[in-house]
Amino acid sequence: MNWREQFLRLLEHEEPDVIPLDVWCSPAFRAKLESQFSPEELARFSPDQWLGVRSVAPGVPEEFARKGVVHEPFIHYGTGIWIDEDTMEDEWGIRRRLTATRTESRVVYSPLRDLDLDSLDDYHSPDPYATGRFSITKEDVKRYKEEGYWVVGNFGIDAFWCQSWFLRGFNQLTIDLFANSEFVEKLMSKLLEYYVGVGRKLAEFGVDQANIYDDIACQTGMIVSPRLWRRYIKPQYRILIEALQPRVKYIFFHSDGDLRPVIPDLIEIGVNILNPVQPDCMDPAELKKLYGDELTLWGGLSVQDTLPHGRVEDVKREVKRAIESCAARGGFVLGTSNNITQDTPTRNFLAVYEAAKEYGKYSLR
Amino acid sequence: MNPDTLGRLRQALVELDSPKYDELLKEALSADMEPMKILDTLRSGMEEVGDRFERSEYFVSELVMAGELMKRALSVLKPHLKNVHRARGKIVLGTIIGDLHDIGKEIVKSLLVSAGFEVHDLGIDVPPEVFVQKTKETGAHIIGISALLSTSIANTAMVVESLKEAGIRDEVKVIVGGAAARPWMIEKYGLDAAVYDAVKGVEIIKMWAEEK
Repeated sequence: MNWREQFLRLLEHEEPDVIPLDVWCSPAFRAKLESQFSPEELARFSPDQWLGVRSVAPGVPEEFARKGVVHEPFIHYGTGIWIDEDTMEDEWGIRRRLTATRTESRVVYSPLRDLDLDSLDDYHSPDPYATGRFSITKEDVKRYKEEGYWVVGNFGIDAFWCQSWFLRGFNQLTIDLFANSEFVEKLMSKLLEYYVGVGRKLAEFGVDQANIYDDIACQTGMIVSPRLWRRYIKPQYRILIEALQPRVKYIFFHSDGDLRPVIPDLIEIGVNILNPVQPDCMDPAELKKLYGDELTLWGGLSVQDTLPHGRVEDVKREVKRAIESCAARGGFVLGTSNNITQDTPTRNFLAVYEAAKEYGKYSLR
Repeated sequence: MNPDTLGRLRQALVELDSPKYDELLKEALSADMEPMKILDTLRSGMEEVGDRFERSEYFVSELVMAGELMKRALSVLKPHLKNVHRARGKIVLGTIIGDLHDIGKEIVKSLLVSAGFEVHDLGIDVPPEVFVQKTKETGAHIIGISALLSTSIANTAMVVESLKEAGIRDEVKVIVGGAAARPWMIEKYGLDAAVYDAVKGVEIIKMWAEEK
Protein backbone atom coordinates (compact mmCIF):
# COMPACT_ATOMS: atom_id res chain seq x y z
CA MET A 1 0.00 0.00 0.00
CA ASN A 2 1.44 3.42 -0.87
CA TRP A 3 0.88 6.49 1.34
CA ARG A 4 -2.12 7.59 -0.66
CA GLU A 5 -3.81 4.31 -0.12
CA GLN A 6 -2.93 4.35 3.57
CA PHE A 7 -4.54 7.77 3.96
CA LEU A 8 -7.61 6.87 1.96
CA ARG A 9 -8.18 3.92 4.23
CA LEU A 10 -7.52 5.60 7.54
CA LEU A 11 -9.57 8.69 6.68
CA GLU A 12 -12.46 6.40 5.77
CA HIS A 13 -12.04 4.83 9.21
CA GLU A 14 -10.62 1.58 8.00
CA GLU A 15 -7.32 0.21 9.21
CA PRO A 16 -4.32 0.91 6.96
CA ASP A 17 -1.04 -1.04 7.25
CA VAL A 18 0.85 1.55 9.23
CA ILE A 19 0.05 4.66 11.22
CA PRO A 20 1.59 7.72 9.56
CA LEU A 21 3.79 9.88 11.79
CA ASP A 22 3.77 13.67 11.53
CA VAL A 23 6.56 15.29 13.56
CA TRP A 24 6.84 19.09 13.71
CA CYS A 25 10.12 20.68 14.74
CA SER A 26 10.84 24.28 15.64
CA PRO A 27 13.55 25.81 13.44
CA ALA A 28 15.85 25.87 16.50
CA PHE A 29 15.32 22.18 17.21
CA ARG A 30 15.87 21.38 13.54
CA ALA A 31 19.15 23.30 13.64
CA LYS A 32 20.16 21.27 16.66
CA LEU A 33 19.44 18.02 14.78
CA GLU A 34 21.41 19.26 11.79
CA SER A 35 24.40 19.89 14.03
CA GLN A 36 24.20 16.37 15.45
CA PHE A 37 23.43 14.25 12.38
CA SER A 38 24.72 14.03 8.83
CA PRO A 39 22.23 14.67 6.02
CA GLU A 40 22.22 10.92 5.33
CA GLU A 41 21.32 10.17 8.93
CA LEU A 42 18.63 12.85 8.95
CA ALA A 43 17.07 11.31 5.85
CA ARG A 44 15.85 8.50 8.13
CA PHE A 45 13.45 10.99 9.67
CA SER A 46 12.30 12.45 6.38
CA PRO A 47 8.53 12.91 6.23
CA ASP A 48 8.65 10.92 2.99
CA GLN A 49 9.56 7.88 5.09
CA TRP A 50 6.89 8.39 7.73
CA LEU A 51 4.04 10.49 6.33
CA GLY A 52 4.08 10.66 2.54
CA VAL A 53 2.46 14.03 2.13
CA ARG A 54 2.99 16.73 -0.50
CA SER A 55 1.82 20.23 0.34
CA VAL A 56 0.33 22.89 -1.89
CA ALA A 57 0.19 26.42 -0.54
CA PRO A 58 -0.15 29.92 -1.93
CA GLY A 59 2.95 32.06 -1.97
CA VAL A 60 3.38 35.76 -2.48
CA PRO A 61 2.44 37.12 -5.91
CA GLU A 62 4.93 38.61 -8.33
CA GLU A 63 4.07 42.19 -7.52
CA PHE A 64 4.85 41.78 -3.81
CA ALA A 65 7.86 39.55 -4.49
CA ARG A 66 9.44 42.38 -6.49
CA LYS A 67 9.64 44.46 -3.31
CA GLY A 68 12.44 42.25 -2.10
CA VAL A 69 10.61 39.50 -0.28
CA VAL A 70 12.63 37.03 1.74
CA HIS A 71 11.75 34.09 3.94
CA GLU A 72 12.77 34.07 7.59
CA PRO A 73 12.06 30.68 9.24
CA PHE A 74 12.21 32.06 12.79
CA ILE A 75 9.34 34.45 12.07
CA HIS A 76 5.81 33.07 12.17
CA TYR A 77 4.60 33.10 8.54
CA GLY A 78 7.88 34.86 7.88
CA THR A 79 7.61 35.70 4.20
CA GLY A 80 7.86 39.42 3.69
CA ILE A 81 10.08 42.43 3.53
CA TRP A 82 12.43 43.60 6.29
CA ILE A 83 11.42 46.90 7.86
CA ASP A 84 14.50 46.91 10.09
CA GLU A 85 16.93 44.18 11.08
CA ASP A 86 14.44 42.45 13.38
CA THR A 87 11.05 43.36 11.91
CA MET A 88 9.33 41.97 8.87
CA GLU A 89 6.16 43.09 7.10
CA ASP A 90 4.00 40.54 5.29
CA GLU A 91 1.70 40.96 2.33
CA TRP A 92 -1.22 41.89 4.61
CA GLY A 93 0.76 44.71 6.23
CA ILE A 94 1.23 42.82 9.51
CA ARG A 95 4.64 43.37 11.10
CA ARG A 96 6.38 40.77 13.25
CA ARG A 97 9.56 41.17 15.23
CA LEU A 98 12.13 38.61 16.35
CA THR A 99 12.98 38.12 20.02
CA ALA A 100 16.42 39.04 21.34
CA THR A 101 17.27 35.34 21.04
CA ARG A 102 16.07 35.42 17.41
CA THR A 103 14.13 32.21 17.91
CA GLU A 104 10.53 33.46 18.11
CA SER A 105 8.51 36.32 16.70
CA ARG A 106 5.42 38.29 17.50
CA VAL A 107 3.06 40.76 15.90
CA VAL A 108 4.21 44.29 16.67
CA TYR A 109 2.06 46.20 14.22
CA SER A 110 -1.53 45.51 13.26
CA PRO A 111 -2.44 47.56 10.19
CA LEU A 112 -6.17 47.80 11.01
CA ARG A 113 -5.75 48.81 14.65
CA ASP A 114 -6.91 52.39 14.25
CA LEU A 115 -9.47 52.01 11.49
CA ASP A 116 -13.18 52.66 11.92
CA LEU A 117 -16.06 51.06 10.07
CA ASP A 118 -15.79 53.45 7.11
CA SER A 119 -12.04 53.52 6.74
CA LEU A 120 -12.00 49.71 6.80
CA ASP A 121 -13.45 49.94 3.28
CA ASP A 122 -10.07 51.21 2.12
CA TYR A 123 -8.28 48.10 3.29
CA HIS A 124 -8.18 45.27 0.80
CA SER A 125 -7.07 41.77 1.63
CA PRO A 126 -4.56 40.33 -0.83
CA ASP A 127 -5.86 39.06 -4.14
CA PRO A 128 -5.93 35.25 -4.05
CA TYR A 129 -5.80 35.14 -7.85
CA ALA A 130 -2.85 37.54 -8.25
CA THR A 131 -0.21 36.54 -10.78
CA GLY A 132 2.34 34.27 -9.25
CA ARG A 133 0.24 33.36 -6.20
CA PHE A 134 0.74 29.65 -6.87
CA SER A 135 3.91 28.21 -8.27
CA ILE A 136 2.30 24.80 -8.55
CA THR A 137 0.12 23.44 -11.36
CA LYS A 138 -2.61 20.86 -11.71
CA GLU A 139 -0.09 18.63 -13.42
CA ASP A 140 2.21 18.75 -10.38
CA VAL A 141 -0.65 17.62 -8.15
CA LYS A 142 -1.53 14.86 -10.58
CA ARG A 143 2.07 13.71 -10.57
CA TYR A 144 2.26 13.69 -6.77
CA LYS A 145 -0.76 11.49 -6.68
CA GLU A 146 0.68 9.14 -9.29
CA GLU A 147 3.82 8.91 -7.19
CA GLY A 148 1.67 7.74 -4.29
CA TYR A 149 1.67 10.88 -2.13
CA TRP A 150 -1.26 12.32 -0.23
CA VAL A 151 -1.75 15.93 -1.35
CA VAL A 152 -2.59 18.54 1.25
CA GLY A 153 -3.60 22.13 0.52
CA ASN A 154 -2.80 24.98 2.90
CA PHE A 155 -3.88 28.60 2.97
CA GLY A 156 -0.46 30.01 3.77
CA ILE A 157 -1.72 31.88 6.85
CA ASP A 158 -3.82 31.21 9.93
CA ALA A 159 -7.57 31.38 9.49
CA PHE A 160 -10.23 33.84 10.57
CA TRP A 161 -9.73 34.21 14.30
CA CYS A 162 -5.96 34.52 14.34
CA GLN A 163 -5.61 36.50 11.14
CA SER A 164 -8.24 38.99 12.25
CA TRP A 165 -6.52 39.66 15.56
CA PHE A 166 -3.12 39.87 13.88
CA LEU A 167 -4.66 42.54 11.64
CA ARG A 168 -6.63 44.37 14.30
CA GLY A 169 -4.70 43.72 17.53
CA PHE A 170 -5.88 41.23 20.13
CA ASN A 171 -7.50 43.62 22.58
CA GLN A 172 -9.06 45.81 19.94
CA LEU A 173 -10.58 42.82 18.16
CA THR A 174 -11.93 41.59 21.49
CA ILE A 175 -13.58 44.96 22.11
CA ASP A 176 -15.04 44.80 18.60
CA LEU A 177 -16.49 41.37 19.27
CA PHE A 178 -18.40 42.72 22.24
CA ALA A 179 -19.23 46.19 21.04
CA ASN A 180 -18.67 46.66 17.31
CA SER A 181 -20.30 43.80 15.46
CA GLU A 182 -20.51 45.65 12.15
CA PHE A 183 -16.75 46.09 12.08
CA VAL A 184 -16.15 42.42 12.81
CA GLU A 185 -18.57 41.35 10.12
CA LYS A 186 -16.99 43.62 7.53
CA LEU A 187 -13.52 42.42 8.47
CA MET A 188 -14.60 38.79 8.22
CA SER A 189 -16.09 39.34 4.79
CA LYS A 190 -12.76 40.78 3.62
CA LEU A 191 -10.87 37.78 4.94
CA LEU A 192 -13.40 35.43 3.43
CA GLU A 193 -12.69 36.73 -0.08
CA TYR A 194 -9.08 35.67 0.28
CA TYR A 195 -9.75 32.26 1.86
CA VAL A 196 -12.54 31.29 -0.50
CA GLY A 197 -10.40 32.34 -3.47
CA VAL A 198 -7.47 30.25 -2.27
CA GLY A 199 -9.85 27.42 -1.39
CA ARG A 200 -11.27 27.38 -4.91
CA LYS A 201 -7.75 27.25 -6.36
CA LEU A 202 -6.83 24.36 -4.05
CA ALA A 203 -9.96 22.52 -5.12
CA GLU A 204 -9.11 23.17 -8.79
CA PHE A 205 -5.63 21.79 -8.28
CA GLY A 206 -7.24 18.62 -6.97
CA VAL A 207 -5.76 18.47 -3.47
CA ASP A 208 -6.99 15.60 -1.33
CA GLN A 209 -7.21 17.49 1.92
CA ALA A 210 -7.38 21.13 2.97
CA ASN A 211 -5.80 22.28 6.21
CA ILE A 212 -7.33 25.14 8.19
CA TYR A 213 -5.14 26.46 11.02
CA ASP A 214 -6.68 28.70 13.67
CA ASP A 215 -5.69 28.74 17.33
CA ILE A 216 -9.02 29.41 18.99
CA ALA A 217 -8.21 27.75 22.32
CA CYS A 218 -5.57 27.63 25.03
CA GLN A 219 -5.02 24.92 27.59
CA THR A 220 -7.56 26.21 30.08
CA GLY A 221 -10.27 26.44 27.43
CA MET A 222 -11.41 28.52 24.49
CA ILE A 223 -9.67 31.86 23.88
CA VAL A 224 -12.59 33.33 21.99
CA SER A 225 -15.74 32.30 23.84
CA PRO A 226 -17.87 29.64 22.14
CA ARG A 227 -20.75 32.11 21.89
CA LEU A 228 -18.70 34.71 20.01
CA TRP A 229 -16.95 32.04 17.97
CA ARG A 230 -20.33 30.67 16.84
CA ARG A 231 -21.57 34.12 15.95
CA TYR A 232 -18.57 35.46 14.04
CA ILE A 233 -16.09 32.74 13.13
CA LYS A 234 -18.03 29.54 12.56
CA PRO A 235 -20.08 31.02 9.68
CA GLN A 236 -16.84 31.88 7.88
CA TYR A 237 -15.50 28.35 8.23
CA ARG A 238 -18.81 27.02 6.99
CA ILE A 239 -18.71 29.13 3.81
CA LEU A 240 -15.07 28.24 3.25
CA ILE A 241 -15.70 24.51 3.66
CA GLU A 242 -18.69 24.73 1.33
CA ALA A 243 -16.39 26.28 -1.29
CA LEU A 244 -13.93 23.40 -0.87
CA GLN A 245 -16.35 20.51 -0.81
CA PRO A 246 -17.27 18.24 -2.43
CA ARG A 247 -14.08 18.37 -4.49
CA VAL A 248 -11.92 18.43 -1.38
CA LYS A 249 -13.42 15.76 0.80
CA TYR A 250 -11.10 15.90 3.79
CA ILE A 251 -11.02 19.00 5.95
CA PHE A 252 -8.32 19.22 8.60
CA PHE A 253 -8.76 21.71 11.41
CA HIS A 254 -5.90 22.72 13.70
CA SER A 255 -6.17 24.55 16.97
CA ASP A 256 -3.94 24.31 19.97
CA GLY A 257 -5.59 23.92 23.33
CA ASP A 258 -8.84 22.62 24.69
CA LEU A 259 -11.55 23.28 22.12
CA ARG A 260 -13.99 20.61 23.28
CA PRO A 261 -16.93 23.05 23.50
CA VAL A 262 -16.92 23.55 19.72
CA ILE A 263 -15.90 20.13 18.40
CA PRO A 264 -19.53 19.21 17.59
CA ASP A 265 -19.83 22.51 15.68
CA LEU A 266 -16.73 21.71 13.67
CA ILE A 267 -18.11 18.30 12.76
CA GLU A 268 -21.43 19.90 11.80
CA ILE A 269 -19.79 22.20 9.23
CA GLY A 270 -17.74 19.45 7.64
CA VAL A 271 -14.44 19.16 9.52
CA ASN A 272 -13.37 15.52 9.53
CA ILE A 273 -9.77 15.70 10.79
CA LEU A 274 -8.84 17.26 14.13
CA ASN A 275 -5.29 18.34 14.93
CA PRO A 276 -3.25 18.31 17.18
CA VAL A 277 -5.33 16.72 19.98
CA GLN A 278 -3.10 18.33 22.60
CA PRO A 279 -2.87 15.66 25.32
CA ASP A 280 -1.94 18.23 27.98
CA CYS A 281 -5.55 19.38 28.02
CA MET A 282 -7.70 16.96 25.98
CA ASP A 283 -7.67 13.22 26.49
CA PRO A 284 -7.20 11.57 23.07
CA ALA A 285 -8.97 8.42 24.32
CA GLU A 286 -12.02 10.44 25.34
CA LEU A 287 -12.13 12.18 21.96
CA LYS A 288 -11.85 8.85 20.16
CA LYS A 289 -14.74 7.51 22.17
CA LEU A 290 -16.92 10.56 21.58
CA TYR A 291 -16.05 11.47 18.02
CA GLY A 292 -14.07 8.54 16.65
CA ASP A 293 -16.65 7.77 13.98
CA GLU A 294 -16.72 11.30 12.62
CA LEU A 295 -13.19 12.57 13.14
CA THR A 296 -9.74 11.38 12.30
CA LEU A 297 -7.49 12.40 15.19
CA TRP A 298 -4.10 13.68 14.06
CA GLY A 299 -1.45 14.28 16.76
CA GLY A 300 -1.49 13.22 20.40
CA LEU A 301 2.12 13.62 21.60
CA SER A 302 2.88 16.36 24.12
CA VAL A 303 5.65 18.78 23.20
CA GLN A 304 5.18 20.53 26.53
CA ASP A 305 5.64 17.74 29.02
CA THR A 306 6.69 14.36 27.70
CA LEU A 307 9.05 15.34 24.90
CA PRO A 308 11.07 18.06 26.67
CA HIS A 309 10.89 16.72 30.22
CA GLY A 310 10.14 12.99 30.02
CA ARG A 311 12.50 10.05 29.92
CA VAL A 312 12.87 7.90 26.80
CA GLU A 313 10.50 5.32 28.31
CA ASP A 314 7.91 8.04 29.01
CA VAL A 315 8.01 9.11 25.37
CA LYS A 316 7.63 5.54 24.19
CA ARG A 317 4.79 4.96 26.61
CA GLU A 318 3.00 8.06 25.35
CA VAL A 319 3.34 6.89 21.74
CA LYS A 320 2.02 3.45 22.71
CA ARG A 321 -0.85 4.91 24.69
CA ALA A 322 -1.86 7.28 21.88
CA ILE A 323 -1.89 4.42 19.40
CA GLU A 324 -3.77 2.09 21.74
CA SER A 325 -6.44 4.64 22.46
CA CYS A 326 -6.89 6.16 19.00
CA ALA A 327 -5.86 3.79 16.23
CA ALA A 328 -8.64 1.20 16.29
CA ARG A 329 -10.73 1.29 13.09
CA GLY A 330 -8.32 3.73 11.46
CA GLY A 331 -8.94 7.44 11.85
CA PHE A 332 -5.59 8.19 13.42
CA VAL A 333 -2.34 9.87 12.42
CA LEU A 334 0.31 9.97 15.13
CA GLY A 335 1.94 13.35 15.56
CA THR A 336 3.42 15.94 17.85
CA SER A 337 1.03 18.44 19.42
CA ASN A 338 3.11 21.29 17.99
CA ASN A 339 6.73 22.07 17.17
CA ILE A 340 9.30 20.16 19.19
CA THR A 341 11.23 22.81 21.10
CA GLN A 342 14.98 23.10 21.26
CA ASP A 343 15.20 22.04 24.92
CA THR A 344 13.93 18.58 23.96
CA PRO A 345 16.65 15.92 24.30
CA THR A 346 17.53 14.34 20.97
CA ARG A 347 17.07 10.88 22.51
CA ASN A 348 13.38 11.69 23.05
CA PHE A 349 13.01 12.72 19.43
CA LEU A 350 14.56 9.40 18.40
CA ALA A 351 12.29 7.56 20.84
CA VAL A 352 9.21 8.84 18.99
CA TYR A 353 10.40 7.16 15.81
CA GLU A 354 11.47 3.98 17.55
CA ALA A 355 8.15 3.64 19.32
CA ALA A 356 6.18 4.55 16.19
CA LYS A 357 8.02 1.81 14.35
CA GLU A 358 7.38 -0.68 17.12
CA TYR A 359 3.72 0.07 17.82
CA GLY A 360 2.51 1.78 14.65
CA LYS A 361 1.89 -1.27 12.48
CA TYR A 362 -1.64 -2.60 12.37
CA SER A 363 -0.55 -6.10 11.38
CA LEU A 364 1.63 -6.37 14.48
CA ARG A 365 -0.79 -5.00 17.02
CA MET B 1 -28.79 59.89 40.95
CA ASN B 2 -30.46 56.55 40.90
CA PRO B 3 -29.43 54.86 44.15
CA ASP B 4 -28.75 51.65 42.35
CA THR B 5 -26.32 53.13 39.82
CA LEU B 6 -23.38 51.32 41.37
CA GLY B 7 -25.19 48.00 41.39
CA ARG B 8 -26.11 48.44 37.76
CA LEU B 9 -22.60 49.58 36.89
CA ARG B 10 -21.22 46.42 38.46
CA GLN B 11 -23.75 44.36 36.54
CA ALA B 12 -22.84 46.06 33.23
CA LEU B 13 -19.19 45.22 33.89
CA VAL B 14 -19.94 41.60 34.72
CA GLU B 15 -22.21 41.27 31.69
CA LEU B 16 -19.62 43.09 29.51
CA ASP B 17 -22.28 45.45 28.24
CA SER B 18 -20.02 48.18 26.93
CA PRO B 19 -22.53 50.95 26.03
CA LYS B 20 -24.46 50.53 29.29
CA TYR B 21 -21.23 50.46 31.27
CA ASP B 22 -19.99 53.71 29.72
CA GLU B 23 -23.31 55.38 30.41
CA LEU B 24 -23.46 54.27 34.05
CA LEU B 25 -19.82 55.13 34.67
CA LYS B 26 -20.53 58.63 33.44
CA GLU B 27 -23.60 58.80 35.63
CA ALA B 28 -21.66 57.69 38.71
CA LEU B 29 -18.91 60.24 38.08
CA SER B 30 -21.24 63.13 37.43
CA ALA B 31 -23.13 62.30 40.63
CA ASP B 32 -19.95 63.09 42.52
CA MET B 33 -19.81 59.66 43.93
CA GLU B 34 -16.75 58.82 45.98
CA PRO B 35 -14.12 57.48 43.54
CA MET B 36 -13.02 54.85 46.01
CA LYS B 37 -16.56 53.55 46.26
CA ILE B 38 -16.84 53.28 42.47
CA LEU B 39 -13.52 51.50 42.35
CA ASP B 40 -14.50 49.02 45.04
CA THR B 41 -17.71 48.26 43.17
CA LEU B 42 -15.82 47.60 39.98
CA ARG B 43 -13.27 45.44 41.77
CA SER B 44 -16.03 43.29 43.11
CA GLY B 45 -17.36 43.04 39.54
CA MET B 46 -13.94 41.94 38.31
CA GLU B 47 -13.87 39.27 41.01
CA GLU B 48 -17.10 37.89 39.68
CA VAL B 49 -15.72 37.92 36.12
CA GLY B 50 -12.77 35.89 37.45
CA ASP B 51 -15.13 33.47 39.19
CA ARG B 52 -17.09 32.99 35.99
CA PHE B 53 -13.83 32.28 34.18
CA GLU B 54 -12.91 29.68 36.80
CA ARG B 55 -16.32 28.06 36.31
CA SER B 56 -15.73 27.99 32.50
CA GLU B 57 -18.70 30.28 31.93
CA TYR B 58 -16.30 32.95 30.70
CA PHE B 59 -13.26 32.61 28.46
CA VAL B 60 -10.17 34.64 27.62
CA SER B 61 -12.19 37.00 25.43
CA GLU B 62 -14.43 37.89 28.41
CA LEU B 63 -11.43 38.43 30.71
CA VAL B 64 -9.82 40.74 28.18
CA MET B 65 -13.03 42.70 27.60
CA ALA B 66 -13.61 43.11 31.33
CA GLY B 67 -10.02 44.34 31.65
CA GLU B 68 -10.63 46.88 28.90
CA LEU B 69 -13.77 48.17 30.62
CA MET B 70 -11.90 48.40 33.90
CA LYS B 71 -9.09 50.33 32.19
CA ARG B 72 -11.60 52.96 31.04
CA ALA B 73 -12.79 53.48 34.60
CA LEU B 74 -9.29 53.58 36.06
CA SER B 75 -8.15 56.23 33.61
CA VAL B 76 -10.92 58.59 34.78
CA LEU B 77 -10.74 57.63 38.44
CA LYS B 78 -6.97 57.71 38.80
CA PRO B 79 -6.54 61.47 39.20
CA HIS B 80 -9.06 61.41 42.06
CA LEU B 81 -7.49 58.48 43.85
CA LYS B 82 -3.95 59.73 44.40
CA ASN B 83 -4.37 60.97 47.94
CA VAL B 84 -6.56 58.26 49.35
CA HIS B 85 -5.27 55.28 47.51
CA ARG B 86 -2.44 53.07 48.69
CA ALA B 87 -1.34 50.24 46.43
CA ARG B 88 -2.10 46.77 47.71
CA GLY B 89 1.35 45.67 46.66
CA LYS B 90 4.04 46.30 44.07
CA ILE B 91 4.77 43.81 41.36
CA VAL B 92 7.21 43.67 38.48
CA LEU B 93 5.76 41.82 35.51
CA GLY B 94 7.25 40.69 32.21
CA THR B 95 7.58 37.93 29.62
CA ILE B 96 10.95 36.22 29.92
CA ILE B 97 13.68 36.55 27.32
CA GLY B 98 13.20 34.32 24.29
CA ASP B 99 9.42 34.51 24.60
CA LEU B 100 6.94 37.11 23.49
CA HIS B 101 3.57 35.65 24.27
CA ASP B 102 1.78 38.32 26.21
CA ILE B 103 -1.96 37.68 26.10
CA GLY B 104 -1.72 35.88 29.45
CA LYS B 105 0.52 38.56 30.91
CA GLU B 106 -1.86 41.31 29.83
CA ILE B 107 -4.77 39.49 31.50
CA VAL B 108 -2.80 39.09 34.72
CA LYS B 109 -1.83 42.74 34.56
CA SER B 110 -5.38 43.96 34.15
CA LEU B 111 -6.60 41.71 36.97
CA LEU B 112 -3.81 42.98 39.24
CA VAL B 113 -4.38 46.63 38.39
CA SER B 114 -8.10 46.13 38.98
CA ALA B 115 -7.31 44.54 42.32
CA GLY B 116 -5.30 47.59 43.36
CA PHE B 117 -1.72 46.54 42.71
CA GLU B 118 0.98 48.84 41.42
CA VAL B 119 2.18 46.96 38.34
CA HIS B 120 5.48 47.66 36.61
CA ASP B 121 5.19 45.97 33.25
CA LEU B 122 8.51 45.35 31.51
CA GLY B 123 6.88 44.04 28.34
CA ILE B 124 8.14 40.98 26.50
CA ASP B 125 11.47 39.28 25.79
CA VAL B 126 12.86 40.63 29.07
CA PRO B 127 16.42 39.74 30.16
CA PRO B 128 16.81 38.47 33.78
CA GLU B 129 18.87 41.44 34.94
CA VAL B 130 16.12 43.84 33.87
CA PHE B 131 13.66 42.11 36.21
CA VAL B 132 16.16 42.52 39.06
CA GLN B 133 17.00 46.12 38.24
CA LYS B 134 13.31 47.10 38.14
CA THR B 135 12.64 45.26 41.39
CA LYS B 136 15.39 47.20 43.16
CA GLU B 137 14.31 50.46 41.62
CA THR B 138 10.64 50.12 42.60
CA GLY B 139 10.97 48.17 45.84
CA ALA B 140 8.54 45.60 44.45
CA HIS B 141 8.17 42.46 46.52
CA ILE B 142 6.74 40.22 43.83
CA ILE B 143 8.04 39.33 40.38
CA GLY B 144 5.62 37.79 37.91
CA ILE B 145 7.25 36.11 34.94
CA SER B 146 5.26 35.04 31.93
CA ALA B 147 6.47 32.23 29.68
CA LEU B 148 4.50 30.14 27.24
CA LEU B 149 7.21 27.96 25.75
CA SER B 150 8.91 25.13 27.60
CA THR B 151 12.19 26.43 26.15
CA SER B 152 11.87 29.92 27.56
CA ILE B 153 10.43 28.87 30.90
CA ALA B 154 13.83 27.45 31.87
CA ASN B 155 15.19 31.00 31.54
CA THR B 156 13.19 31.95 34.62
CA ALA B 157 15.89 30.22 36.69
CA MET B 158 18.23 33.00 35.53
CA VAL B 159 16.00 35.59 37.15
CA VAL B 160 16.24 33.71 40.44
CA GLU B 161 20.02 33.50 40.06
CA SER B 162 20.26 37.22 39.35
CA LEU B 163 18.18 37.95 42.44
CA LYS B 164 20.56 35.84 44.52
CA GLU B 165 23.57 37.63 43.06
CA ALA B 166 21.97 40.95 43.93
CA GLY B 167 21.37 39.65 47.47
CA ILE B 168 17.60 40.23 47.37
CA ARG B 169 16.22 36.75 46.71
CA ASP B 170 14.64 36.51 50.16
CA GLU B 171 12.90 39.84 49.83
CA VAL B 172 11.01 38.90 46.69
CA LYS B 173 8.47 36.25 45.74
CA VAL B 174 8.76 34.89 42.21
CA ILE B 175 5.79 33.45 40.33
CA VAL B 176 5.89 32.01 36.83
CA GLY B 177 2.76 31.80 34.73
CA GLY B 178 2.15 30.26 31.34
CA ALA B 179 0.90 27.23 29.50
CA ALA B 180 4.06 25.20 30.07
CA ALA B 181 4.41 26.04 33.79
CA ARG B 182 4.30 22.98 36.04
CA PRO B 183 4.52 22.63 39.84
CA TRP B 184 7.76 20.64 39.68
CA MET B 185 9.47 23.71 38.20
CA ILE B 186 9.16 25.50 41.55
CA GLU B 187 11.92 23.40 43.04
CA LYS B 188 13.98 22.97 39.91
CA TYR B 189 14.15 26.66 39.01
CA GLY B 190 14.00 27.99 42.58
CA LEU B 191 10.61 29.71 42.20
CA ASP B 192 7.87 30.39 44.73
CA ALA B 193 4.95 29.46 42.49
CA ALA B 194 4.23 28.19 38.97
CA VAL B 195 0.74 28.28 37.48
CA TYR B 196 -0.84 27.97 34.05
CA ASP B 197 -4.04 29.82 34.81
CA ALA B 198 -4.08 33.65 35.05
CA VAL B 199 -6.84 33.82 37.63
CA LYS B 200 -5.13 31.30 39.92
CA GLY B 201 -1.88 33.20 39.61
CA VAL B 202 -3.58 36.40 40.68
CA GLU B 203 -5.10 34.62 43.68
CA ILE B 204 -1.63 33.55 44.82
CA ILE B 205 -0.29 37.09 44.38
CA LYS B 206 -3.19 38.49 46.43
CA MET B 207 -2.44 35.95 49.15
CA TRP B 208 1.21 37.01 49.23
CA ALA B 209 0.22 40.65 49.44
CA GLU B 210 -1.93 39.90 52.48
CA GLU B 211 0.86 37.95 54.18
CA LYS B 212 3.21 40.83 53.80
